[in-house]
Amino acid sequence: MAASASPRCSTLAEYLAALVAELERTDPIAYERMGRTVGKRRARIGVDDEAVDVALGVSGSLEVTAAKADAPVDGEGYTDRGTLLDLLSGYLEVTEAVTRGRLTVRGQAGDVVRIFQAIEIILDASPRAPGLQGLSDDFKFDCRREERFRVQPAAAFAGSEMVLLARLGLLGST
Amino acid sequence: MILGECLRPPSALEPEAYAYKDWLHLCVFDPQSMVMGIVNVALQGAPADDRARASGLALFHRPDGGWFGNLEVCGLPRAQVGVSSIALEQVAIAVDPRSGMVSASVRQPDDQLALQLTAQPAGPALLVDRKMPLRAGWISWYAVPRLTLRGEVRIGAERLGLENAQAYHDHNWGRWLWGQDVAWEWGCFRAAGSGPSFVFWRICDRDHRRFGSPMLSIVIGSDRRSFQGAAVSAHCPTQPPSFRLRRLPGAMAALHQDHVRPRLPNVLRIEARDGLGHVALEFRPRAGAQLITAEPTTRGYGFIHELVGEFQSEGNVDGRGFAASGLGIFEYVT
Repeated sequence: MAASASPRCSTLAEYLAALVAELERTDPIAYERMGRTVGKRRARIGVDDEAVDVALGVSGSLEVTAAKADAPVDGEGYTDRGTLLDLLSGYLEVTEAVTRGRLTVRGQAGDVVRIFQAIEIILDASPRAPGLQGLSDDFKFDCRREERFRVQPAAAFAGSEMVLLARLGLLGST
Repeated sequence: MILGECLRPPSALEPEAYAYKDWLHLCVFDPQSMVMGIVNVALQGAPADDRARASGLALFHRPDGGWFGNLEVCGLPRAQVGVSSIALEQVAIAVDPRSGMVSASVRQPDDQLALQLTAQPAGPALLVDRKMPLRAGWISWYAVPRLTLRGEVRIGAERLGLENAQAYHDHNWGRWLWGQDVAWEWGCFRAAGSGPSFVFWRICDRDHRRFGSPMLSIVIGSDRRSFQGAAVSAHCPTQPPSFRLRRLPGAMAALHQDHVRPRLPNVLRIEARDGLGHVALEFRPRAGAQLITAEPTTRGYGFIHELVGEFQSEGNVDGRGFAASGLGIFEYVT
């Protein structure tokens, strides 16, 4: 059932499971490529106050479990729904999200690169997969059920390097 | 006006239906506020294929506020497609095939843009009804370079009447696949008031090194005059833009981060001379948007850059001298 027809908003775990299942259904080659890319790595993904651990299981299907602080993972990514909406609406570039602290990524460089590659495989398949596009529409619909996630046009990009330096405490006192 | 002008969907039996493209395009220029806008509705892919898509773009640029608007994409069956109209939930354009009048509507509250207008042809049309070969596929089009406007646009908190604004309209259709060696340069430039309007066009490869025959068409007074082939030269040196591109749709922008700062023209200079007249035009962009077009049935991407800015021109056409300046939109496809 489409999330937009659901009486409640889908959870992060439900969206991730649906995205990977839809990729497997509509583009098995891309799905296989994603499997080769991530291998047996586990990733922790957090959006707002929900965090899950994801990995491809032995059978090749996505395993999504609630994140446990003591469970080891190979990489972590945290953001919020407002940031995801800004990205999907074209108001924010990925690099801006990182430099502004709206998207936090942790892990060894090689593992982080593979997590981003997995995301890119889904994005690359989406123009040819109406089901993936539908999930994006459902996500926006869900976010708009809650006014606080309504997209506001972002201010013009200005001085992201300064923002990053300030966040890292490297600007010194003025 | 082209009597009987209508969308050109493929028949179910056409072998190249998968490469179908069709769009209605409207550009708005308001010389007083310097606001410029683009409204575009498009169809692509074989209509019987559930992967075929419809899209609606509305982008308005305000000098003091940047870009407003967004791109809407949905399955083709969800769009209301008429003989000469395409309506999505947020963006719609309809062309009256008898009068040539263009109606456009935009409702994008999340993106602080709303528009309602009608545009009436106020000059001769430009028709390229034959199949112009692209480097892969073909395109046909007709354009109305000059239309008068009624209506209003709301950009952010500002309501702008369009009675003194001007418009350009075209309809493009063809068969090609984004991602193949398909690209072009196109621009429309409108002088304020009753001054001349210009349309420039040339097909090229994606590197913009090999060009087809260029064309520059001018509407001056009630007359249209065209220069083409060796009579037209155009030069547009490129560099990474000094402005931040608005890139849409966001998911494709995230995928193509290597296109955040592509090399784009920082100036366009066109000269046309054929013994009976001459025109010189210089356009400089002040802002830009990047529309990332994806094929719905095979992997392939195109990058349409819409550059808005100001132009200056001078020349003499059929004994009429002119010097004019105004607003322009230059489309640079890679």
